[in-house]
Amino acid sequence: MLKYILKRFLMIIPVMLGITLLIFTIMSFSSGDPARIILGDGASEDDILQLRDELGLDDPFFVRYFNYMKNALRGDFGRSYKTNTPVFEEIFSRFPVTLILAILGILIAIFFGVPIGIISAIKRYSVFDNIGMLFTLLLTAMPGFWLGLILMLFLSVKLDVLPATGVGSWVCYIMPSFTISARTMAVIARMTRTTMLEVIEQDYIRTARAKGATEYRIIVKHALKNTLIPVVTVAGMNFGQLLGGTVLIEAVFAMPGVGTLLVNAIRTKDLPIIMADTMFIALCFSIINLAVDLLYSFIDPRIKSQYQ
Amino acid sequence: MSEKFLEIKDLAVTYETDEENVNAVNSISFSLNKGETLGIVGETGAGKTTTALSIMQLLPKEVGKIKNGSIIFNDENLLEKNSHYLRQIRGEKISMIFQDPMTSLNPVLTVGEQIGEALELHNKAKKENINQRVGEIMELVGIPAARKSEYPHQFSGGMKQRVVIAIALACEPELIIADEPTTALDVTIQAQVLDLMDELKNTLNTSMIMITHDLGIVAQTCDKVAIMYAGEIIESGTLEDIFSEGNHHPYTVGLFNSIPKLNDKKTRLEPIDGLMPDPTNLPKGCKFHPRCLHCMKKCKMEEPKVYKKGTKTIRCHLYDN
Amino acid sequence: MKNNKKQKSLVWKRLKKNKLAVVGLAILTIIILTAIFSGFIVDYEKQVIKQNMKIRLQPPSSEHLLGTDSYGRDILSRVLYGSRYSISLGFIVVTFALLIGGTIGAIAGYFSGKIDNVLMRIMDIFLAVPSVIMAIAIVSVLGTGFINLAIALVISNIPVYARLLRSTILTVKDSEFVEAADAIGTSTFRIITRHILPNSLGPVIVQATFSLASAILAAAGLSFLGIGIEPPKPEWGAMLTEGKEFLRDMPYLVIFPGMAIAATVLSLNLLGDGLRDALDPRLKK
Repeated sequence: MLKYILKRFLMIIPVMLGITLLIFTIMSFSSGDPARIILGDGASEDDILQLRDELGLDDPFFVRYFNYMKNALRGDFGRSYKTNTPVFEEIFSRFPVTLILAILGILIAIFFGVPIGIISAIKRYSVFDNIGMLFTLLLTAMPGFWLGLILMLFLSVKLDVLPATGVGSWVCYIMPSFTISARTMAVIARMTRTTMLEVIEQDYIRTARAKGATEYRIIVKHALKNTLIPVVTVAGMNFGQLLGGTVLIEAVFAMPGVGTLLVNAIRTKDLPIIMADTMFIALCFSIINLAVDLLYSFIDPRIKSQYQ
Repeated sequence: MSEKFLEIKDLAVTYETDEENVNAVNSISFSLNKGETLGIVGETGAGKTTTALSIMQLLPKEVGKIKNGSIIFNDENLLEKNSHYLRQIRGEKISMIFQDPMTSLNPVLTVGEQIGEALELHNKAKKENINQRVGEIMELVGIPAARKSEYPHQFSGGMKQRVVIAIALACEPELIIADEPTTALDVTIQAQVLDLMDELKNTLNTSMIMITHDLGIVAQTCDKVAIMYAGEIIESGTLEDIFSEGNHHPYTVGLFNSIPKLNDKKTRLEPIDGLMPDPTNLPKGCKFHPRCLHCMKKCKMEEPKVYKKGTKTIRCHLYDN
Repeated sequence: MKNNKKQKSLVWKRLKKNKLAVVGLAILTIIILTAIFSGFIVDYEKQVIKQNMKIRLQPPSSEHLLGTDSYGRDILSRVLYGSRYSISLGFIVVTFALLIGGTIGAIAGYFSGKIDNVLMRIMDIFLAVPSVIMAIAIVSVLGTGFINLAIALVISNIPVYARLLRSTILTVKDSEFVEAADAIGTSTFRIITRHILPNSLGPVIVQATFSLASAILAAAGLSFLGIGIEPPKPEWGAMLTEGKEFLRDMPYLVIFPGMAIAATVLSLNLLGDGLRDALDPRLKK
């Protein structure tokens, strides 16, 4: 098992190299001279040429990429064009906000989504099922940033029970994390329902009934684990989307996370930030995918035994 | 010991879906004594599995409906019992060996857990003894007890079927319903599994209903035989009655002619022409008449009555007085 | 071919039975018709972008059914006109992503081996970046605007189709009817066009419906961030950015454009679910 974890972990490396190369390539098409951006419009030609040389901007593509990666591995992602602070610091000071948001989001989504799906499946066509499915259907269609604005409208503007923006205290995270969980929760609930309905039709469920097991036991002991296998996939896939979605949600609730950092950097053409930020999110995504893969082997013995 | 401990009377089962009603079992009756094995023989779709599931009351919810009849087990009509009572019967008094061992086992639970579950549910053994008992049962069906913590995907088809049998045997039930227990297996494994079941039946003195389409298996394991066609029992009797010369239903004759015989010089088998009738739209009169070689006018109009002679019954107009 | 037609009508018949899918199809038809004819219904110069500060931020009235925005423009006209951006972007993105990604996937799936390996590893790298982030990165290089936004969304959607086409083709390729065609000496090209593609169509149509919805959502999201389609163009997401400033005083500015996005996405999701069930009746019980 340990060998498998290690192997999967090592497999991230080529993917990360690919991602950095991809993003580096995309960014190299960026218009505008970084030296001019840094020095401002009033700078002289000589100063600009000198800075270009210092930054190695005139080196061939692969030399630049190699140098960038060499520094990156030592935690040096360059300095922000605008603030001149190290990019690494900029990202890490904002990372906790995004991480808390994403983790709360996925936890809320699972915590509500799975039970809603299970109850809907067991009580198929009941009032709960109908309302639940209509509700989740609507949630999957709502853009997260709009839902955020609507929640803000009711809970902050009209009722004044939750703060609209900021990250001052944990209360500030309630609305954003619910907002970000909404779509994923709906997807998980619907997926759980469909899978559960399929699982309870399986022969092995009939075998359990033939032993005299109660309905409760059949659901909890026999059906749940089998249901969770595809649900974990969906949750994992959605975590990536959710992570991407934090960019929008942070913008709505004015939260200083890596998402807002990215958007601001795009506005100001702050290339080192854009590059490192994108890579950073991709790295997080890859680690999540790894975690999901490992989670699988805990749920599904068929996968586990492949690696023992 | 020959008290009737299972008696089924006029059982009728229909599958109701939005589009159509499937009359899977049409008024069948049979009985079983302690320690006996009854073979139910018929083609796919004759209603054998439906009959088995009716006894267990495990018909697909909302779709499978028991329309009529009674299932008397140990003097109690199971059709009148609530689900709590039925759960106590299932697995402890009556258990079932399912057709397809590949899908009948839960992929995420160890075989030990799955075999031990019935013991746990029916308090057949103390918690700490369950593990040991599971080991014993596994050894009984020929699986090393050491494999109890393995998962179904680590077992071969034949071994899985042994696990399914072990599950059914766990509580030493009074009645085992075996639904084509060997169809999914290789011929060599088939023989092993049948021998095993025969041996177990003798040591535990359980009764058995053996559902199969294979007359060879019937000859090897059964005391009594019922032949089903289109949801009806068209002929029944002791093994002797069915396998010896004498009066038979034309369908039974057809079944025997369609299996090869070693000492026969005939070069071709004689299959029964035609197909089983559509269960949503059964023919009038005798349900076998469109395929019958002896079809008479009467057969197309009237349902045949049951002709009885000794232990043998035949449902055919040929034997009307 | 006859068989194909029969199957199509069967799918249509099943789809018609599904009430939710019919509702989705109806809503979608209305939205598409609006997108096509909005140029005739409302005047872009006079009603959509012309500012009139005298009547700014008015609540709904008989004159302005959904009220006016902070520049005195009619919200209804803007929402109606906004459908053009979402719908056309959605279709452009899906069409090109399908063509490019589909070709990559088809090549990988049909020829397998080394080609498959190389192509799919590249797609994996694209998939390792969340699609919104990928689109943001591309837009940050290309700049804002309709075409750049479309390019960004096409690129971020390519891997999805590459994977889908590859897996369906692998499934179909192994099926017996393709083996049979191969055995009687049918040419590779004919096998692909006559046997494999028509049989991979179902999942592709379903995926296209869903990714139409997600492309529309992503476009609105990027415009909301100010890096997609920019004001004064009445793109729904861009309208929400404007509306956000006036959440306290004029919630209508936020409510209506958002509802338009939600209705479009909902109709596509309903249709997609319906199509999936109709194409694969096994799943629906």
